[in-house]
Amino acid sequence: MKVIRELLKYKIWMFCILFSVYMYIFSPAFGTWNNFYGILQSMFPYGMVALGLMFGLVTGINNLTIGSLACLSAVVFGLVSQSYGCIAGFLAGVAAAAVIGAASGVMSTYLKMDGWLVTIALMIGVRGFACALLAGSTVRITDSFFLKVASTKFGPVPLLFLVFLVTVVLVDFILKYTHYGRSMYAVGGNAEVAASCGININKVRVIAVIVSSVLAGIGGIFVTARLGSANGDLGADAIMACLPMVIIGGAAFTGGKGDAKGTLSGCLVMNLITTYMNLFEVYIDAQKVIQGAILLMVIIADKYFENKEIKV
Amino acid sequence: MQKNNVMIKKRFDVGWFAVNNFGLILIVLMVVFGSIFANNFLTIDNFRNLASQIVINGILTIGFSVVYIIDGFDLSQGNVLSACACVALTILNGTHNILWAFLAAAAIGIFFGFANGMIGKVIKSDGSDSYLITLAMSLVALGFAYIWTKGLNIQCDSEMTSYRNIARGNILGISNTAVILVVFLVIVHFVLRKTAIGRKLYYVGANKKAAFMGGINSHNYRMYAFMFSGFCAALAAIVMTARTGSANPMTGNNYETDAAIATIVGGNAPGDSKSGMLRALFGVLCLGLIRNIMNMMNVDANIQTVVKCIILLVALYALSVKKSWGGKD
Repeated sequence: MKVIRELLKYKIWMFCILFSVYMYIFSPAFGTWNNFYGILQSMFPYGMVALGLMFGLVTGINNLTIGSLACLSAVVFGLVSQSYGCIAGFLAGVAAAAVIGAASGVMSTYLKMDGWLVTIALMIGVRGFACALLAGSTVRITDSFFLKVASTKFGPVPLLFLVFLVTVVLVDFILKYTHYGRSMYAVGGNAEVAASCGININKVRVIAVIVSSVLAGIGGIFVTARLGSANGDLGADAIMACLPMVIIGGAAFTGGKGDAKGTLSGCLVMNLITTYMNLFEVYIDAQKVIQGAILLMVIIADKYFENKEIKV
Repeated sequence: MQKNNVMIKKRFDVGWFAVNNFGLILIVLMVVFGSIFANNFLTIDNFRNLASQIVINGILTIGFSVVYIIDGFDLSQGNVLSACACVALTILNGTHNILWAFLAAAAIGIFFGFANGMIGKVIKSDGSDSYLITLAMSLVALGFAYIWTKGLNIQCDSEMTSYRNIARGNILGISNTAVILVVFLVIVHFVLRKTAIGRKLYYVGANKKAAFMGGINSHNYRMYAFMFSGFCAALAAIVMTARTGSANPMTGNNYETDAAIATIVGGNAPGDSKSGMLRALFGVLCLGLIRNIMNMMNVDANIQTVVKCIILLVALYALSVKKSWGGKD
């Protein structure tokens, strides 16, 4: 019994292994190194965005802005790196995301505005701002250093995946072993209790939103490595893609739960499902319905068991 | 209670008035601003134009307000509109019968609303869950529209002039669609204010637990509101396809955000007894005026989006100030 309970902790990872074995048997293309590289490579951008989303969710903030922030960072990166090089572009993109994140955090905590609506308003406005910066066109990413970093690989393992793993370990360290990380869980679990214990909940939340936005921005910048350009539609499906990763990974919409390790597993699951749909030639429009259905199922599973006991 | 009243009375000053009538003040400001800075703003043609511009957003906002009153949020409206538009035009081309087209669109819209509401009922959702449910449902509706049309543009049959005349004709110089909006608005206002089901929606929005204890099945009323919102999306789809004569899966893209902005800028709040169709109309007029004036001043569409976002944030700040001053009314 104890063994089973221990094993159930790793149910997501076991699902990944079983699913991979299934695809390995039934699809000849799955077992190739190229496919392996592709899966790991595609994990980085939206994996970072999902980490950001998770970071916000731990303190109970649903940062729906992340898709637009990814877009804004990518656009700023593209525009600045054209004339000042990719390091300056990277910093500018991250700074833009951080500024918007700080504004969002301050508005939903210190100014006591409805957090959901603030993120939705910014979701609309930030994308509009990014499109206005582009003036309707797209910006091509031609910086050779950036493209080289994005395509570096050690054997079949891309460099960016290693960076992702390091970020996961770092985020888990912050969440688990620092004073700030523990107070994040306290705020997400029950804000009033945390406040009476002497935690400055507004400060904790604002910092969480800023970190969340920065991670989303970094993810957005590296989406451009694959596309070769940044346009106004970048990251439009980020919420749909990342919410299931985060929730499958053990976070909850109400906050106070979740860690980076879990998000990594959720990210792997979603990428395997995408790979499955591509390898087994699921109709492209049906993929949208399936993605929506997965998100719906995740929401239902999360909320149904939480609200099982209460009547209304 | 006594204390609360005294506090509200003391607060009756310019700030209190401004926060309570945010939408109205914005409309007045817009009209003044437009008549000074935009040429041809104060002409009858422009106002006629404005009346037909706001119709689609207006119909969507009616549904959105009803959902917002029960403390829900319907982000699926835009894509449901696309799905309804595609289905309506396909049925219209097949049967050459306007009634069937309308019924098919309404069925699709109500079905998606029903799905939203049913999931909310199963998981006993509160306000914030409906953001996520409807976000996921919008993806399903978009996928449905793509599968239905195979990604193609659907054209209305050229012989169906009677269908196109829904949008083209006018009554006493006011376009048909504006008349549809006003009639619909009055009906919904009547239902919300004077019938049992309308009043119960307010109770559910104010406190669904208390409403449940008082013998109202809160879950069902939340579901009705979402179904009504789906129906509004279908009606908007009919007006839209009648006007443009074509439909594709991106027809209703981002319309839900405009409806959300109009609802909130108008001053609606969940369970607020004063929120309703009048405030929705303020919000719609406000957004319509902003678009109208900025179009006349040749402002880029993306800048318009940023301006809308800023106005929404200011409206949210006004709401939070109002809350901190005590009471919802």
